[in-house]
Amino acid sequence: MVTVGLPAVIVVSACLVGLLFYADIDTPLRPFVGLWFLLVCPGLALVRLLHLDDLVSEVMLAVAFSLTLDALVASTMLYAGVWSPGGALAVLISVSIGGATLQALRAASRPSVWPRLQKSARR
Amino acid sequence: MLSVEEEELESLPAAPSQDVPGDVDNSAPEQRVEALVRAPWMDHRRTLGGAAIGFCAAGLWLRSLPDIDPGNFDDIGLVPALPFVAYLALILLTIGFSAAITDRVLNRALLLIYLSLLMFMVYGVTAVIEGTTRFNAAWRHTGIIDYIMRNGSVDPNFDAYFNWPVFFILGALFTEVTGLSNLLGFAAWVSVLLNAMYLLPLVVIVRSSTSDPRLPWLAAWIFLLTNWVGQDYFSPQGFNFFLELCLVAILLRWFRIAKHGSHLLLRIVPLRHVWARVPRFIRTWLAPADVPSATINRWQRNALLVSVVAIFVVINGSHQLTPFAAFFAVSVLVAFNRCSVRWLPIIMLLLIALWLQFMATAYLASQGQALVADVGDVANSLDQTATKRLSGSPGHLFIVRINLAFTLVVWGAAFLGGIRRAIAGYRDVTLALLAVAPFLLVPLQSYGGEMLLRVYFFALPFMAFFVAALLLPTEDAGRSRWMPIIMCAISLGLLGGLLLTRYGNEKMNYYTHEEIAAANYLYTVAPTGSWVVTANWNVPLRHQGYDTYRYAVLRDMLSETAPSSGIDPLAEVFGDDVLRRTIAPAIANLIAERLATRADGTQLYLYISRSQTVANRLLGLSSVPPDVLAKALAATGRFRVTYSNQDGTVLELANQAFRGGLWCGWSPWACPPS
Repeated sequence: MVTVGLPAVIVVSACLVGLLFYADIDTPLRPFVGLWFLLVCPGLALVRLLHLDDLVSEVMLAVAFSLTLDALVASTMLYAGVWSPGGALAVLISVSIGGATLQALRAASRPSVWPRLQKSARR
Repeated sequence: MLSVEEEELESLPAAPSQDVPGDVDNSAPEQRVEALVRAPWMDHRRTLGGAAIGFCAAGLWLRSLPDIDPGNFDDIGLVPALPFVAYLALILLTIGFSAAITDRVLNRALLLIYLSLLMFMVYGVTAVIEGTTRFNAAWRHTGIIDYIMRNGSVDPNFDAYFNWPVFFILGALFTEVTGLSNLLGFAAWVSVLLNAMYLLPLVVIVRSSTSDPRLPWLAAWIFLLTNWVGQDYFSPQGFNFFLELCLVAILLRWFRIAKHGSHLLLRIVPLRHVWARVPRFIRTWLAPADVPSATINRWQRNALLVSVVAIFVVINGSHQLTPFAAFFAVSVLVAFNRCSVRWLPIIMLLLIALWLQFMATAYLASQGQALVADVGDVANSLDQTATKRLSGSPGHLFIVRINLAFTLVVWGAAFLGGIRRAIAGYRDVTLALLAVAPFLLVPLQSYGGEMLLRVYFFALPFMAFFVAALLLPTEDAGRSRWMPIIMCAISLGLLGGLLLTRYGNEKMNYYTHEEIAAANYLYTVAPTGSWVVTANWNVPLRHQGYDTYRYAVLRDMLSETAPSSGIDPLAEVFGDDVLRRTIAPAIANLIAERLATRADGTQLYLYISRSQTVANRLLGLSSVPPDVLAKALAATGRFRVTYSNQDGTVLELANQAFRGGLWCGWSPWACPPS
């Protein structure tokens, strides 16, 4: 369930942040959704593809990868003279949804990693 | 071709684990570890009891918050303003943690609750009671983000920040996506978020070096109790420290060398000869094999290596100092045979050189010589950090001494922890190297008098491990009934030290809503291009109009020449005629005239606030307090008070009264200084 659940969370987060940003919806929820997405989602979409099977390491890498990706995408656009927060967000949403889709596809052909993650968390 | 010594070392069997000392019973470590952690989530009675302690602590803390008045901060900061109930909450929390960490059965849920509560109670307290963003640099950083959002570019010639702008570009993206007008509200809470983030790599790092399940938790607790330097605010340093720790954590978890081998240093012939003369048992003790890395396949290895390089690219473009800290950490690991990615330091050095050559050219052109001149001057670096801070009010001097003492206590405890581990048979060479590596930064430069603070910060995760190891050196340690009491006493001692050191300058570091209102008013009335002059640097300004106003502190505006290193702007310019607690009208007129000359027809606003006056007194910056100066300048008639509240005053220089170097109907020399 979790192997499908996490990709679903990533996709929903990506869609929500896209909706709030591109439709410019001013809601108190938007800062939290934006923060959650940029801080966690792109990295989480990629790190689960590595199958490292260690919960703390995966959370650490999810945040580190997310910040690194955010920074690289935004900085590349700025230095290329095409600064566009909307464009950068589109790239990050694409990465997140792409990674989550791959996770879901792999999950269909692999046994759940949740028991292994639970075991690693107890270490 | 391997040398004799190298072959000898290569032939030694791989050590099973650093955590299995030779002279300690290691018959069944896995069973003992399992016994320690068995049924962690199911011991409901313990969990409920411990959680009750935690929630009581949280309740008492919340109850105490309304009683904390920032107005009661004094020269030693937050400590006198905290009510008894707040201390009771912290004591209760510490008792709970000490009991939980020394319990026979490790309860992770409880430990997580205690760590989270400590984080919110200690690192979030200022955000709750002050309700504003502390540190003037955080306001400045918000202004740089605002610049990037307005212009969609960076200007490396503007100042040093734009030569390492990646953190600010990221900030601009966050601001746009979250729909906030700026990140000041977020910045007030960023210490809590960053410290939570730091604990992730810290736990991975400690787990890579020990199989004792208690040490990661205790090291995290110690880290939170000793992180006093305050670099975890909304800054490139705070952000990059997390990335640097992640980089090290990846290398330690997946790229260790799990067999005896020769150090790269031994390829240097003289060192090899010296090494060969050292008795074999000492050699194997000094160069132990590491704990085997977590198993990964080629695809995982390549992906992790790409991520390590990508993380370093971001660090390299975000901060001046952290790339060097990361480079030294990785180089030391490689040189001492603790990391299998031996080409990584070369790549890092190349990336640093490329960035300096192509992206930070403007900074190097203006500051390069000064930077190079400082290299190797250890005495200057130490002097700038320690000696030059020893000035100001008695309360501030007390805090500075406490800072130094607390630093030495933490380092000393870490050293003793390392000794205790070594006596117990553990050889934490990797973490010891990482604890020492940041000290290689000291000869580079003084970093504006902050180098030792940064060294403390970079070394802290590893020092925290050794302080934790002082308390729990082996998996069998900590079982005595006295251990919870000892743990609690040490934790409370560190907590007291943390509150004094971290928040000792809080009276100066925080900004009231009133002075922020005055600053915001200034931006609404001052035309673009105006001069904004302040008595000193401690102001909540530049969060907007970073490039569209001309900012200066009074000293720079008054000085005939370039800004000097004098500490009293008024005495420097006007000599000792400036009175101690007041200012003569003639001097005030002179200042007004000098400012008008410097402004050269441009609108000039003087912003004077409570925090400047406090900083002036605490740090002993000038003999004339800014609030006294403001009143004197207003009394001259050359300045018009355009806004004033209890904590902030905005004065506008009446430029139209000044023509061709003469004030209409008045001569500054008519009234000699009294």
